[in-house]
Amino acid sequence: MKREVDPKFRHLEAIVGAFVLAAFAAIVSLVLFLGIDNDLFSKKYHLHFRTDSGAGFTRGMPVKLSGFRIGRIREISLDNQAKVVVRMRIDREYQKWIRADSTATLLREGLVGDSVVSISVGSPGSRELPGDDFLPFLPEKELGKLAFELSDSVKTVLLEIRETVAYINDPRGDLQVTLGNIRRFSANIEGSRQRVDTLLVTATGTVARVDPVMDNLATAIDNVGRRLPVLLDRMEGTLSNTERISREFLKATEKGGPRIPPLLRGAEELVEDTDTVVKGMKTMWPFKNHLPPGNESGIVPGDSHE
Amino acid sequence: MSRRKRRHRVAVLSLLLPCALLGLGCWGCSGSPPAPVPPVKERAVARNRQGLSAEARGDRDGALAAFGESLKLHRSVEDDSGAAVALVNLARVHRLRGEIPLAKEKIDAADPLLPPGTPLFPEMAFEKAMIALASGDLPAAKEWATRAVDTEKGAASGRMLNLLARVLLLEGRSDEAQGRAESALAANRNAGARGEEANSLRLLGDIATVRKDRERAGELYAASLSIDKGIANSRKIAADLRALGALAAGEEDTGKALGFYTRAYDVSVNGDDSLGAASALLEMARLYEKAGAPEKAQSARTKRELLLGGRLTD
Repeated sequence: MKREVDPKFRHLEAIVGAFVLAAFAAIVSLVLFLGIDNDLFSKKYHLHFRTDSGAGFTRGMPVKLSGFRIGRIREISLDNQAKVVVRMRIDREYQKWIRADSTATLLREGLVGDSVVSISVGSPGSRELPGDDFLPFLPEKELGKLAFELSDSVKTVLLEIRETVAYINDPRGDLQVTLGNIRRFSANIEGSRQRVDTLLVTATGTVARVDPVMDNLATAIDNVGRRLPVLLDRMEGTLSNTERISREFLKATEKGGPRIPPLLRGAEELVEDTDTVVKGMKTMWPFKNHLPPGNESGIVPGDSHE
Repeated sequence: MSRRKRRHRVAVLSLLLPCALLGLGCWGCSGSPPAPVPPVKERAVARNRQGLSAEARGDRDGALAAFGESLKLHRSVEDDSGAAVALVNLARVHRLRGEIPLAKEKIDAADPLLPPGTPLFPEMAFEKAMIALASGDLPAAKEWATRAVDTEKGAASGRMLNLLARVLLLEGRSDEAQGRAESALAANRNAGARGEEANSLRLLGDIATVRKDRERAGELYAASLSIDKGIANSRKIAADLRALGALAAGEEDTGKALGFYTRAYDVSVNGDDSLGAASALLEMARLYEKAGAPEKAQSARTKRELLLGGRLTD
């Protein structure tokens, strides 16, 4: 008996088989990916730390060592003294780096990044922390606070500089008035010098004209004599003002100075963190395929014809 | 192919493609992070990297400071291989600055840290040979260049062979030098080392000049010049032009020789290579004298003196 088959269903079994195989492969890949991403295939152990407040901590938050994720926060609970106990699940392979003098810190990655728990590398002389042990927790200043502190310090210095510049530029200020007086005084001296020149020229010709010239000279000297004490008084006032400004500037420097080293330290840590993140990104797909090869030997390139 | 078959193929492909993409994504994103490096070693490696960047931009003072700090950090944790890298780098920068005694001191300190068989040994042997060559000690230069050639099996073998060929040519053994330089040329072409390929060609040009084969020498120098222009290496371009100038002068073609030396002078002056420029000016003065232009010869000599005294600004 001849069996009629619709041509549309001729390879139905093969297509269904391929579909099932592909779906199975996709599911296996997805499970593997999720498993690797959630560290399901590596050995784990647990560490804890206590902190006063649970603000900023979430279940599943990454735990990092030297910028690399080594685990996640597993559980956050309160103990008998109402302290927050944070339980971390950490890859066993990193246990050798976490020692008795290691500390845990809550850090923010960059200005707008996520928070992470950062564990410091312990010194080689300390003992390795066994599972379920407690780490000391160090509260870290937030970037925002650091930025505000920096902003406050800079603002104070800028205000003081603005006041100083305004004082110097004030046309009615002592400094500007004194400069004006000096300018006028110089002009008078020039006038006097010209008169002395005239006197010397005419002295050889007409001895009789010496008297009026001498009178002029006496007037000029008298003029200088009258103005000089005033000028000196004003100069003294200016000097005392300058001294006051210097004192205030010194005070401002003393006030702001101690804040600068911690700020610089914060900035340096931030730069190091950024460097770690960028270095990490360089090793990631797809970036690593598009970066030019670096000097892996670490040696200055040699040339046989130098 | 029938329309139905094509449709089936498209259907199968449309299923397989997302799966393949998903698989690729998983493969790309998975993988465990590298083991953390101790902070001291990380800092030492970072200083070495800073030294390399400083040297690349011509800041040799900065390079020496960074390599010195890297050496200190490596020594603080008794990391011999790291210290050897820093010492070889220090020796190389000192040599490039013309500080041969300091370069020798550093490379001699690296020697005991790098026994034959270690990956850095050929580089250390190469540097020892370069320093010996700079000191005029040809036997030592030959010994260390031979050791560098014998131990280097990677992409730098052409460079080591070039150096050995250069030493052999200086010893007057042009046949051996020719063999080594040809092997170097093949190795450099194979490794894609363009700068060293140009060095091999220039060296073969020098060998051809010694053998009075001027036509071949001219072709080889021109080929070297073409590569050096391609990689924009100012000092090498000037060296090629000076070699072409010497070749033309040997052929008694003073006008052509002056043309090459003038170009070499211009390249060196604009590339801040005062020694290269002074060398071109000296040859120009000789050629002007020969051509019966004593004023121009005197002018070139005066310019050279000013240049070597660091007083020429234009």
